[in-house]
Amino acid sequence: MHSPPKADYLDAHFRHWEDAEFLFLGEHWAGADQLFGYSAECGLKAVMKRLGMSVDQTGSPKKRKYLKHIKELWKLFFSDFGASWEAIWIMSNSSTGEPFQDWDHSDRYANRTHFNRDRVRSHRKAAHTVKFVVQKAKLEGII
Amino acid sequence: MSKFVGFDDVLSHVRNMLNRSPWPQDGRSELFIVRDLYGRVRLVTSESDEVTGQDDEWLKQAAQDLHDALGPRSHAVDDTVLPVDPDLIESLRKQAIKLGPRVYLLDRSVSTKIWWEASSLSESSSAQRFALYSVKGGVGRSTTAVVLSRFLAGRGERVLVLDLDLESPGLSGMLDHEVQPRYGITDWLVEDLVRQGNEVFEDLCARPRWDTEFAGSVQVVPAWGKNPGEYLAKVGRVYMDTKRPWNERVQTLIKKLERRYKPTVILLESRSGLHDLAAAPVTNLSANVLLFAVDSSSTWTGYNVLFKHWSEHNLSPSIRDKLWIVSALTPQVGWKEYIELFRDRAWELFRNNLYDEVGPTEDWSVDRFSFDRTEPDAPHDPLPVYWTSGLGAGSSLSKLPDVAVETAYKEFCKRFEYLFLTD
Repeated sequence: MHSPPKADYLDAHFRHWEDAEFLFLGEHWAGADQLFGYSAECGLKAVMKRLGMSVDQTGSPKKRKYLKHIKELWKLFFSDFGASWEAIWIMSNSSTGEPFQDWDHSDRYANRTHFNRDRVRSHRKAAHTVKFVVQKAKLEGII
Repeated sequence: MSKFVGFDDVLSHVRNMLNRSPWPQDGRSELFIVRDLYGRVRLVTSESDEVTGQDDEWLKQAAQDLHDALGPRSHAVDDTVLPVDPDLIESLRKQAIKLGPRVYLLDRSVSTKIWWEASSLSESSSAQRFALYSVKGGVGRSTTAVVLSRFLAGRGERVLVLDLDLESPGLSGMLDHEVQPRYGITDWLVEDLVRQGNEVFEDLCARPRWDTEFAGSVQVVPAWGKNPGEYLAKVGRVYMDTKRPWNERVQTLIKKLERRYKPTVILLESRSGLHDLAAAPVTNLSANVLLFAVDSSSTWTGYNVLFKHWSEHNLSPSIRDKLWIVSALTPQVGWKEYIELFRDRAWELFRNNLYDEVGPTEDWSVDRFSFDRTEPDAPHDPLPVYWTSGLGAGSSLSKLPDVAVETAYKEFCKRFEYLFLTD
């Protein structure tokens, strides 16, 4: 039986970002939008794991509350992990509110006309902030 | 068994590697060698630089070299080179130390970052600033701040005294309880985090009762106000960075105070030791720095650590002409021999780290930062403060005994006046 590969949030964060950028520059708004959301989700989970979020043997969060996509995860990150890290400052200053409130995992079924440049740009900006935080954590040697 | 690579071995290995095989000159990309919070080394480039050709080849080789040589003080070979966002590079550039053409060292530490920033001394000030610093505490910095402020006010100066020793505040003792301001520096730093520093700014400053005796004036900005409140909880937050690092926030406060009170002289009592809070007045605030010392091996070792750091990272040219050593607690009995010995030790400290080397046949008239052992008014020539029983622990900073002050500080004030106040 095929078993899924173990989660590697850090690598997934970067590869989703790279693919999302590729699609964004090619004006494939729908695909880019989804991948910016996944990139941000994986980046935050990489940081959360380092800050103590326990994972099972597949790498998935043990607590059900963290089995979430970016729409819900953004807020959870701030409430449960943000205070212990300078990420809270960087992120709260560059992205106000909940930038992925209008992003949804189920949008993958949506018609492409549902997506446009402006919508994707705001998600791209928020995903970029996560990437900035993740790179800083990596540079500092934290993750 | 692999060879143990200690923390102190890392940078010398990196330097040797760069000497053996310099970062190629053909490309335009910059290389940041980062020593992370755990003391491991990475090679960081900017995502906006296209790293190709010889640069790319060099990075691959260097990653392998670092991994082979540094073991646990490196990362996996394929995780050693890290291209990062150009904005991240810019945010860290100020702390980068140049190692060669387009090659920089970034040393990431939880604290002591500010000691790296001696090169950023560029701030202009309308007032003369003096920082009172010591490697170890209990050597009379607070008492000196009081005596100096009175002396300067007597000469007609408008003196502003700031207590930046936030974790061991002393200068509020200059102010009787009734005249204490409502807030202190700590309150401003904490309110500034949520952009409401202005709410406390007008209540940070007060005049000691004796201020009326002088032609000039003395104003004190204490670390805490009349009611320290939740002081520990506040001090735990003063080092927070906003968009600006906290030491720049301190600079902003001082500039605001300058604009508001128009002092001609500012005295900054720094924290003692090698902590960041001690570093800020020494390296960041364009102040002449009075280095308080007693003749003990721990004092000289501490100063040697600091001076060596500046010397090894090419920071000394921007700081050395602002340093002045003070012989604190000088014994009155046998003072002559004590001062001679003290001067020798201080000369050794400056000569080994901060003075330029001048060969025996070289022309001394050429502009060199170098001083002979016995040269008067050199940075290593101590300004003496004498120990007297009247100024020991228990004496009130708001009412120092005149006779004891005269005995302890007469020579110090005379030298201070000659060095800093005469044209």
